[in-house]
Amino acid sequence: MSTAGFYRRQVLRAGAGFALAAIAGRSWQLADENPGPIPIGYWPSASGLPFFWALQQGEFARLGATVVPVPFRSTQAAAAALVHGRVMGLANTPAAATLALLTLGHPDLFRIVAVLPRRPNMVLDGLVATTQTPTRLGVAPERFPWQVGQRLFPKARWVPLAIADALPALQRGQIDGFYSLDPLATGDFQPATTLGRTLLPGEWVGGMALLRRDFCDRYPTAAQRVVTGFQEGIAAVQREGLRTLTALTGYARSAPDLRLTVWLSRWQGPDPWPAIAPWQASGERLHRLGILPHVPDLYRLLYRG
Amino acid sequence: MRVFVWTGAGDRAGFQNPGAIVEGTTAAAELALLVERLGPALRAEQVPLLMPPAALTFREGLQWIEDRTEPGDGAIELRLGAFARPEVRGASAFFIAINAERQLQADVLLQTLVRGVPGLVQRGARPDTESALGRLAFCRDLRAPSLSLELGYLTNPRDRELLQTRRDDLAIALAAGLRQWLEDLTRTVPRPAVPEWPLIGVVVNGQPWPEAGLLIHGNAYVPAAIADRLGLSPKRRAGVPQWRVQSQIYLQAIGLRDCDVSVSWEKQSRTVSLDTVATTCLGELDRLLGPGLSTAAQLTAFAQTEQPDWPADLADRLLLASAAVGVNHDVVFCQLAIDTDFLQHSFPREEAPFLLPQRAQALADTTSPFPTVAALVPPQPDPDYPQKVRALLRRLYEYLGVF
Repeated sequence: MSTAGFYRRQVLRAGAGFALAAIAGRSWQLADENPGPIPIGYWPSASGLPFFWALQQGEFARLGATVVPVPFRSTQAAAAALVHGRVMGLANTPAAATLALLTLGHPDLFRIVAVLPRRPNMVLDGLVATTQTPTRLGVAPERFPWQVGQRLFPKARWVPLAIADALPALQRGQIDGFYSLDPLATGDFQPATTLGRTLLPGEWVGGMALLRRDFCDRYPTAAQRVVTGFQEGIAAVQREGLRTLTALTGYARSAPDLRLTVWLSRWQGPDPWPAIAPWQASGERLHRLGILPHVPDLYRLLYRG
Repeated sequence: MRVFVWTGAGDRAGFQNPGAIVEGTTAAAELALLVERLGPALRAEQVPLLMPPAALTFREGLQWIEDRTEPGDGAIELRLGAFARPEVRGASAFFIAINAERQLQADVLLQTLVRGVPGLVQRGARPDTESALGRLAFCRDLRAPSLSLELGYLTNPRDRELLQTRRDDLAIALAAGLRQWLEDLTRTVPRPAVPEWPLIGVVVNGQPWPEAGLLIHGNAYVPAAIADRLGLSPKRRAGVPQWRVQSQIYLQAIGLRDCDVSVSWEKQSRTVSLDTVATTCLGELDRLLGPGLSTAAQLTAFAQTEQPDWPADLADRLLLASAAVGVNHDVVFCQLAIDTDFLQHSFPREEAPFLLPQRAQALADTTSPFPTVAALVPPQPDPDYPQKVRALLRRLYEYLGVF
């Protein structure tokens, strides 16, 4: 055997060894990356349509991710579940919960997978009122609606009320108006009685879908599958419009409404992310107003695979 | 290895706060007689006893101890309980919450006491979060390891008899228990010039904090920078005990509970978790107006842990009466529980249909624009009343899992 032949065989053997090691390493990583069922929280509201559609169509299962939907009815319960790792992500956070999570999640608890910019009437928040000069205002017994509301209506006398009791209280005349960061129980504000008031007259994250950062780091492939499933849902809502509203069945109640689907079709992300500079500017403004204790770093929080 | 013993607070005029007064005796008098015997008993155990002068106020007493504390010392507060129901009896040892080491020591001390004084009943080692104000300054604010020992109830005839007839046994057992405790402290407390406290993990709102905390005398301390992350103003955190290690300042983790931070300890990984989910999402939890967070069934279950005879239908009535005038039923409940010692007195149950709406209406009449329990008016003069209601509300919310 020539020396050159010996060395060639050695090199080939080493190359094969490396290749085998690389394949074994990759399969080890894949085998290790088995998160099992992935609990994802959602609000039973129409804003979760892309998620509900992906679930109904079996998109997550097709991609190899076992997503388990977990419903939440309060900001506090959802935030606690995310912070304590009982869910790996949230499919649709309404505005009040978005503010809470940007406070709790500072600096690195989660990655934003998709955002729903704002409501169809082009305001983040709203006031349903029976008079043009309301003085007794209802507000959800939560920190952010009241904090933002106080800025807008500093002279109002505030009455904390569950959101579900808002419309009955208005009808009974107990309050003149109800200020909310999130849609009322009817699913939408009534235009005849809505006064659009907002602290944020630009683009703002009205809702978001997110995954825990440590989940994304530990299980990058599984996280990518969940994100792809969500993307499929967003694409379907944008492509098929009203037809996708059937996916709300079993998850949320809402009348088929063209305006609703126009709004829901505005879900964005994560590929490609639209210009986020205006949202970042809104976050900084909320911090300057004293609503958010820290400036949210949205560039850092966006999911980038 | 010395022990500081604190038995009560006086004032600058030398007046000794008598504490509970029952059947011609007072808590202060009974404790003074016990301490007379405790001195020789501790000498026999070779444990030096240090007692702050009786004329000092409580705060001055704590400072007196603080100024003289050396590594290996321990501090104990001796108290006698009093309760509206005379059948309530037994000894309890309160320890600083989430300190597993101190809990064990409190338990051992109680066992020694009960073994030495047959007939004495023990109510167990209890975290100071279960006390009326939700914290005991004696357990929280001293650098030295400390316990607050309730030797029994002066209002209970059997406990009173034991205190008065078995003083020597009580003093000997207490001295033996204290020596054992101090020996345990000497074993666990590092003695070098700059103690090397064990490091612990810190998790803030579900995210690992990059710097480690310290376990000082079994109490978790966290880097002071965390207070900024949690949005606690310097004024709010001023009362949280601190520990300086070289140039770094650490805050007592359980002290942050007074700033509405939820604090828990994970024994396995030696990690302290702080979270502010409840207050970030819900704002002021002790607001007087608006809906409460509990259901009638939850209120009943919580009340029955304190008072097994709590009527099952009362919570429903209380919720209805509160909703009718738009007040927080959790506050109405806590106020009722504090005012009546969980219905032990001042609340004829047959008059509940009239009394509950009255109580709810009284809250609704509070005039502040977004009132909290700080605005409550006590039925009898009591500066601690709002804090007592708030402490019970906090316990209720911990029971419900809100915190």
